[in-house]
Amino acid sequence: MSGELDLRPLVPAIIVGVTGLVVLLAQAFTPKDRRAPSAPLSLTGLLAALAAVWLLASGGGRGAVLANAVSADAYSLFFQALLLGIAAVAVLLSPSYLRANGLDRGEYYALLLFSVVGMLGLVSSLELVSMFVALEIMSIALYGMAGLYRSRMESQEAALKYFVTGAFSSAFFLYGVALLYGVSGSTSLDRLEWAVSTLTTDSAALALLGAGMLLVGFGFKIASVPFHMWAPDVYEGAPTPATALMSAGVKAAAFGALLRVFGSALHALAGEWQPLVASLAVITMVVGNLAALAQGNLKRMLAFSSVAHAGYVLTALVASPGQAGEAVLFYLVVYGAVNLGAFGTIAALSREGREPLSLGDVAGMAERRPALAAALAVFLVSLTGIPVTAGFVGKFYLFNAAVTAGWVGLALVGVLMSVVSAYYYLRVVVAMYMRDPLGEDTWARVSPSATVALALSAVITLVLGIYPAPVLTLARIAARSLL
Amino acid sequence: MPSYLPIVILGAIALGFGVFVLAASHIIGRPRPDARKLSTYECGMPPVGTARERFPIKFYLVCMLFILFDVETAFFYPWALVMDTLGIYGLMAMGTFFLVLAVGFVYEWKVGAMDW
Repeated sequence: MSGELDLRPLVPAIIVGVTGLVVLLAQAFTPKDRRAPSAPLSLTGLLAALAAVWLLASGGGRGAVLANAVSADAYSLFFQALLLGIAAVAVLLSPSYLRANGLDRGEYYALLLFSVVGMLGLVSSLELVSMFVALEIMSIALYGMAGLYRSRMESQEAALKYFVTGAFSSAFFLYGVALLYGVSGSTSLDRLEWAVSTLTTDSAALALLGAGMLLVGFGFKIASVPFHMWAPDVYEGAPTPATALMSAGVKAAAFGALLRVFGSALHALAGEWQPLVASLAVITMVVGNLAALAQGNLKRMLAFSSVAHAGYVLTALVASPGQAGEAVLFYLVVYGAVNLGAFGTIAALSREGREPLSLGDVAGMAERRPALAAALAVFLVSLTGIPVTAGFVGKFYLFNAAVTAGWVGLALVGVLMSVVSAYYYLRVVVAMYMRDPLGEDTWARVSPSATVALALSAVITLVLGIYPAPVLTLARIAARSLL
Repeated sequence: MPSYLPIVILGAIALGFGVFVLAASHIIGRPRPDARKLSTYECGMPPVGTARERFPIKFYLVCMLFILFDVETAFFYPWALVMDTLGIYGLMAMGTFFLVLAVGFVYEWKVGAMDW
């Protein structure tokens, strides 16, 4: 047993996990009047893990290890690099926000790193129980992060709601795993793929029920309608950099696992689950966008926009695994950068427990803070999906995948809803550029680390909009290892 | 059936011990009841009354720590049984598990979770 022990695919997750423990100990051993070096430590750990992903990738990745439970194939490595990048940007956004809100403790960073361990595991699991354990590692750390702002009622509410709905969705997921185990006699995705391609009438019902349960479980994590109720409250209540991590990272990790299970293992049942996914996509896009129209609070508006974007991504799932994979992977990169930027701008301006949450707060920002207003405008325009930004290219590939698969109506709903979304995204841009400021500018000066994070997000958004080819190629290679 | 005999014996001993202790305290004990002793739990929160009151959070902290370390031992017992067959691999795996828990323990000690 010891001779075959190959932990190399786990090295990125191990590095992040050990860094989390170090951050925790550093906080415990730092005197009360001093500040623990949590952010630099976390950033170092995440970059080291990124380097490990790079080394694994340049070595051609690794096959499945630990009884076929995890692998470092191109698909895993693509997602791991994306998730580590998202986490690193979230860490860059954190110190100034935490200080401005009196939350600056190492536990925040430790929880962040532990949730990243779960995300990394989620996208590299080839087996449903490992996937479930990873899902829980990610979620439990995030429940804690949501409730970290202890002096705010909304944060308490966020933690409790997230925990209750999260536990509920875990039960669905687990029940689905149990039913699929009943079909295939194994929790491994390989065996499952083989079992669903040789179904009898009896076991077909069981497999469909199991697949449906899994879809509900994933539906909660990606916040698709009707499993989205928690998202606005949690996104609003959590500390803003944590919200950025949730909206970018959790969604990417959950879609990574969802695509591996449905696109690859359960592909033989595609004829059955595709209509279901398509209807989920339609109601998610419609409800998400219409609800976002009515929001006065920027964080809640972005939360509903994040719901709507889960719908856009779902539209691509009706295509063949390769094409769906390419479109989804590329879009998740775009979406990660854009959402980190949008939430990050709010977080970066936070001062003395307040942050800009209404249109009035950002009115006339272009005069006072031209660079910041331009960055936020880029993010919002990209969320709308207007050309020259990455959002356009991303949505183009998503809807193109749906059209190629013959789901023209589905793509049409997506396009129409994108037009609707222009109203609430561009309203903010209009307020920044065409309205006069209200009162004094009392917001914080953007800290150097937050500047780096926002600049990075903005540059990625623009570069991917103009020259998406390299990332698209990587996404295509990664998606190929699903087949 | 003979393989179940030890379980029956264990059950009998457990039952007998419980009866013996109760009987012994009934015969040789001198009861001096007071309100506190007669309450359902002799320690902790009043079991009857409104739930909407302030309570010491440390009570729950200790509970949580207890569960944490209780679960830890629950994992150690089965490992101890098959330690020989698992060999160095099992030792390393349990060592990692123990290390992670130990870090948690050091953390909670240092931040004062154990100070009553």
